[in-house]
Amino acid sequence: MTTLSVETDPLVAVVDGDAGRPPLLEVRNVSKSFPVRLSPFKKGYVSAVDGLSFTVKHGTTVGIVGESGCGKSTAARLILGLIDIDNGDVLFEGRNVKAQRESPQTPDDRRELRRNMQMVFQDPHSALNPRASIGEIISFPMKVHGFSKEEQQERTQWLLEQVGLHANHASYYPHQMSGGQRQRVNIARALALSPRLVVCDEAVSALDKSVQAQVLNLLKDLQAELGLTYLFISHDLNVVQYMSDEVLVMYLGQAVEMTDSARLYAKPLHPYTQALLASTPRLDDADGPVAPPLEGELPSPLAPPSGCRFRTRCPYAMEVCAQERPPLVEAADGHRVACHLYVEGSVEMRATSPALAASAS
Amino acid sequence: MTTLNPAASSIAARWREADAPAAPESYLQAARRRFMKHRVGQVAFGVLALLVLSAIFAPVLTTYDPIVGTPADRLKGIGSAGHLLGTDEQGRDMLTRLLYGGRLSLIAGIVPVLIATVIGTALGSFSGYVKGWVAALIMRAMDMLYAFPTVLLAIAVSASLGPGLTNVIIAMTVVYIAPLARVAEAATRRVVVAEYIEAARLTGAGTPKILLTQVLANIFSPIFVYASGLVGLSIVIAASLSFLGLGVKPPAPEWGFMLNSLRGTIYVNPWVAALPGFFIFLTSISFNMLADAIRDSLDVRG
Repeated sequence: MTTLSVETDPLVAVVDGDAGRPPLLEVRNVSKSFPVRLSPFKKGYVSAVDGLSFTVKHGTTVGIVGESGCGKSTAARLILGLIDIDNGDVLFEGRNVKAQRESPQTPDDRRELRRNMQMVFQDPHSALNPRASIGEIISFPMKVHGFSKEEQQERTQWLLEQVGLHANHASYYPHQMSGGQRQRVNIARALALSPRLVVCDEAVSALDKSVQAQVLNLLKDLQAELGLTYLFISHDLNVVQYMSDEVLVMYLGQAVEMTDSARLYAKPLHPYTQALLASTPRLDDADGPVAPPLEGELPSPLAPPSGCRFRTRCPYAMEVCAQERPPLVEAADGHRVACHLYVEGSVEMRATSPALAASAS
Repeated sequence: MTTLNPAASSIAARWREADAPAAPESYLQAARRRFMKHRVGQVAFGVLALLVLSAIFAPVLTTYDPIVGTPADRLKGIGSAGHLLGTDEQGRDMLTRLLYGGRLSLIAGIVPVLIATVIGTALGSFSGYVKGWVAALIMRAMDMLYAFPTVLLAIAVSASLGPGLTNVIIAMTVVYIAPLARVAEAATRRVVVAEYIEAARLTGAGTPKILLTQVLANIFSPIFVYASGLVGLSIVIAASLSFLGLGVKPPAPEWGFMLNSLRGTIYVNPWVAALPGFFIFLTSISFNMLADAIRDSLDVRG
């Protein structure tokens, strides 16, 4: 399996080489909690995303992995503005998205933002309006953005061909298509406004393995041809590895580790990432996963553990883990991890740390 | 997974759909094909068409006067010479009065439901989509309206407006807005969680546009079926209002009022007395059957 290198694409290479430009997307300390009514008189808050920060460079793919319920999808919706952010900022090309949305400098500002960020949804059944034809579905964003009828028709046809469908499919209805075809339509709609950033939220999770491969390759081809930047969210470690240049691992609403894909999969630092990777089923395992999978359940986000949120399931939990939240520090060059094992000052612990020993071998 | 060579990742090398045939049929074609197989729906449609047409062309179909009768011919049975469906207590031809009565009854049955459906759907789908305190205000107001017994509310509104067909229509529209808004709200709440609504929001489309283009078509079925069930009830309530002197004024023929005025003759001429009721029943059940058939035909996922 060769990874499609973005450097081979001239367009992306130029953009990437432009060091003075701000990253395409910068997420700064973003948090979101949802109120829930526990009883008629008691209100609680579910902390869905807590202090999430990361950047996405032009033309690259950043993967977000984590168990279901870890806040991946919420993070995506916060970035796209489908949910309001409680705290923190999202910057698109160095401009604050919230400010741009709430007090646009020009009337086109908000539209521009919408055009630049689009999303490929998870469920090919729920993502397409069952009462609209494929042509209507793909051209709807263009209609909203004031494209002429001819432009809409022409571009819909082009988009259908881009995603490997036929112009005739414009007259189909979602129920007349297969899951893979519907996901292609889903992608075509996301590309309708020629966005810079495409957020893929579990874009292939609902598909058969063989169809998954087709759709993933399609996404890669489109990235190379159109110079797209992806935020690729999935719980499937293999899929994320195949797609991503950089990977962010999330646990219970927080980022625990972020580095480039090759390094993460070769040498995970955070105990959670290690456990996650160890639990991936592999073809050469005769008797199941090597390491025992994580014990216990994901703690309730209503009352997340103090300090490090992973400590309740962490085999290396120390006293400090319950007291302080570990900061996301650069443990190695370009390898950031939020774990007390790697925090400066706990060097003596590091020497004896089995987690580090495991990763160093 | 296939090995992907960047050089080969041109459009030509990509997996693509073989020449796809044009869609076998459009949505409406498919709906029509299904309706063509729906016998019950077709019969119901035929009956309704017959009722509407006969009401419109009543003057052509009969030569009797619907208001002035011949007292000598009163209370004739079904099948009497010259009076196919008999006569009423004032000697007026029943067939004539039933045909003319269809005009008022069908209007009183259908128009309020139509208006209430439009208003109720607008209020309900808006509330179901935006949620928040405005929506809560609208829906609690609907609950208050809904708490009144249907007929009582119709009488109250009608009494405050005065008699006449227009006021009857207004009164019944008010009565029906609440239940229809509730049906629309519930249906909308089910629809808004779908990802295609999020996709529409992501384009920057405004609420009215999303409601019209994405939500409406998907909440149509339950609203339609519920509304069609109200038509029969609507005719009966209009009749009740006429009986109380709040609706259409006698001697204008109207099925509900005819049913009331023939009450006294039920021992003399039971079959004739039952005729207006039969027509109300026929209209009501035909509407239900037709609505079911149309719902089935439109359901693409079926």
